[in-house]
Amino acid sequence: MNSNLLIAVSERLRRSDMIQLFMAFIALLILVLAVTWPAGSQRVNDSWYSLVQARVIALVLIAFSYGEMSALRSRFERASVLLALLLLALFSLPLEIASYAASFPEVPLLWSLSIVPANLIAFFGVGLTLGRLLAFLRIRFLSPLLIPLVLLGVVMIDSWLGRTVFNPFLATTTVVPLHLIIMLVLAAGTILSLVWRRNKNKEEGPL
Amino acid sequence: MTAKRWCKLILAVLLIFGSLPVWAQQRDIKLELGFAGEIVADNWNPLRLTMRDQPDAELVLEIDHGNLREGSKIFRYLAPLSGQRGISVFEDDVFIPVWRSFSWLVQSGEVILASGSFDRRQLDPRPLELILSNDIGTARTFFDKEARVIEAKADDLPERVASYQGVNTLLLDGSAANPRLAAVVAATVAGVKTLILEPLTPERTALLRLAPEPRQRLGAGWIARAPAANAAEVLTDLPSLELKPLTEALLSPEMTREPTGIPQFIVLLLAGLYLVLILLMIRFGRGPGILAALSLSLVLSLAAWGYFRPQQETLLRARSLHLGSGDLALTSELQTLFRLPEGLERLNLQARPLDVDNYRQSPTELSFAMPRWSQATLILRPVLSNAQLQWQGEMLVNNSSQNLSDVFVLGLGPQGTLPPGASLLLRFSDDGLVPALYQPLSAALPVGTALARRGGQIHVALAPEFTSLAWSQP
Repeated sequence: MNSNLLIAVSERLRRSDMIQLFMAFIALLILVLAVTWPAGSQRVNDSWYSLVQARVIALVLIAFSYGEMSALRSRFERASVLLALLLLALFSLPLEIASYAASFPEVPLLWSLSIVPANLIAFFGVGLTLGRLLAFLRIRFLSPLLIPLVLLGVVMIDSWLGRTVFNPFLATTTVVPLHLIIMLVLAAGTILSLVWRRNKNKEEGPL
Repeated sequence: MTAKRWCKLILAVLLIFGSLPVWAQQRDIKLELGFAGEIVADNWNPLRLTMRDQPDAELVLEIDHGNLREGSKIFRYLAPLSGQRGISVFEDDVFIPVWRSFSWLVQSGEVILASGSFDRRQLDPRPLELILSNDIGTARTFFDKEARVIEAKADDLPERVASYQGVNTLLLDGSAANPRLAAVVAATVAGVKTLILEPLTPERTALLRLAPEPRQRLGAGWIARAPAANAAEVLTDLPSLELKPLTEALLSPEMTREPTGIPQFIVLLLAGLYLVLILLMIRFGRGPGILAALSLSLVLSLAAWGYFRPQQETLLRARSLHLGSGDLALTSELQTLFRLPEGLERLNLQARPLDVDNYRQSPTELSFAMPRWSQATLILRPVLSNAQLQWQGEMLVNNSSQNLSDVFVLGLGPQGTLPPGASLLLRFSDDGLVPALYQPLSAALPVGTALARRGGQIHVALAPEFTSLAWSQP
C-alpha cells in the first residue's frame, strides 16, 4: 500500500459515516455474542454460527451499498473505500476467531477466513456495476430499493436452484466450493477493474 | 428314459456335486454364540469361531438394534481370523443388544466362506441357568418352569468373566466331565450362583477346593455345595446382586457434566475494550494508527485462538466399581466421553456405548462417529481383578499399595481412611449418613458391605456371610 493510499484509507475511515458504521458493526457483533455465548445452565457454544452470519450479512450489505455509491467516483477513491471496508472486516476478525475457537464448528477455519473477504470484494464489485447501470439508465434514485432487492434475488435464485450457489448467508456455515469459486471470480474482476489502468483513465490518480 | 429325463438327472447330479464344496466349506466354519446356542440379549455373550483348513479371513457380525420409531442402528463386530492348516479357534465376548436383524459372515477377501443369521424369535433377554450334569431331567426340577435351563458342556465354559453376564446359575453334580476350575471361578466372580451337588465322586472332589464352606461369596457371586435334595432351597436362599444397575449407578451428574468455557461477561468485557481501543486508534492515529489497529487485530486474533480454544478437545471421565469378596473382584468401569469437535472416536477397549446409534467393535478397538459437542457413555466389558478391599474375619484390610479413603460400612457408618496394607477394626459411628458417592449403590448392596474409594475407583467388599441388622449394632 503506498503512502497516498494509506492516508486516503485513513481519512476514509475517520469520516463520521465510516466511524459510525464501524461502531454499529462491532456493536452488532458484541450483541450477537451477548445473546448466543453460553451462560447459566447452557453449555453448548453455538455462538460462531450466529456471529459469522451476522458478520457476513452486515459486510455484504455495507460492501454492496458502498460499491453502488462509489460507482461514479475515481478509481483511487473506489480503491480506498474497498480497502477501508476490508479493514473493517479485519478489525472484526478477533471476535470471529474467539467464537470459532470456542464453538468447534464443522466448517474449517480456512473456509471461514476466506469466504468473508471474497464475498465482501465480490459484492463491492456487483455494487459498482449496479451503480454504473443505474447511472446509465438515469434511475440512481432507485438504488435504496434495488440494493436489498438484488440481495433478495440472490437468495431467491438459490432457492429456485435448490442449492447454495450465490447466497452468502448460507455459504458461510457450510463448505460450498462453487460459491467460493464464483465469489473469487467476481472478486478478481473487481480488483482488476480497480487496478487495470486504461488509457482514457490515465488522468486518474496513482493507485 | 427319455432324453429330457436324462437331462434333468444330469442337471440334478451336477447341482448336488456343485454345491458340495460350498456345503463342506460352511461345515468347516462353525460359529457358536452364547451357551449351547442360547444368546442372552442385552448382555455380553461368549463367541467362539472354529475354522478347519481355512485361509486368513474376517468375521463380521452385523446387528441392527434400532426400532420402528428411531430407525436402523447398526453395530458391527469385526475380528481378523488367522487361518492355518488344521483347526484354528477364535474366542471373544461380544455385547449383543436387542436386535431387529442379526447376520454374520466369514469372508476372505471378496470370497464369503460362511454366513448365517439369527432370527428375531431367538431373542431372549432372560438369564441362563447352566447345568453340567448327565441327569438333566432331575436338575431341571430345581428351577422354575419359566427359567431358561440350558445343558452346558465343560468345554463350553470360558475363563472370561464377561461371558457370564447373562448367566444366573451354574449347577454341577460331578456326573458330567469336570469343568476347568478357572472357568468356575470366572463364572462365580462374574456374579453367578455356583452350586455343587454332593456327594461327589472321588475324582471330582477338586471342585470342593473352591467351596470349603457350605456357602461363601467369591467376587460378585456365590459358590455353595449341598445335597441334591436341598438344591432348590439353597438356590432360592442365595441372594442375587443386580449388577447392571450397580454399574449404571456410577453415572452420577458429575460424570455427565459438560465442560465449562470462558464466562460470557469476560467475553463481552474484552470485546468492549477492544472496540474502544480500535476506535481511538482509527480516530486519532491517522496512518500509523490504522497500521497499529491492523497489527492489534491480527495479534488479538492469535491471542483469542489461544485463550478461547479449550486445551482438551475430548474430555474423558472414568469411574470404576470393584465388587469383591475373597481375593477376587469383578471390575466394571463406566466412562463418559465429551467431544467438542465432530469426528471419529477410536478407543482401545471393548465397551457397550449407551447413547451411540452406530458403532464398530473389534477385539481391541471401539470406534464410532461423534457430532460436535456431544457426549457418549460407555460401559466397559467387565474384567476380573484382585480385590483391594477385603474382609478378613471381622477386620477390613487394604490389600493395595495406596490409601483407600472414605471407608464406609453399610450398617456401621464411616470408618475413615485405610492405609496400604493396614487392617481396620470396625467401630460404630453415629454419623451414619451414606456419602453422596455411595448413595446410588447402597440400596442395592447388603448390610455389612464395606465401600472405599481412591479417586474415581470405588472398591466394595461384599458382606462375607448372611449379615443381619443386629450385626451392625454397637
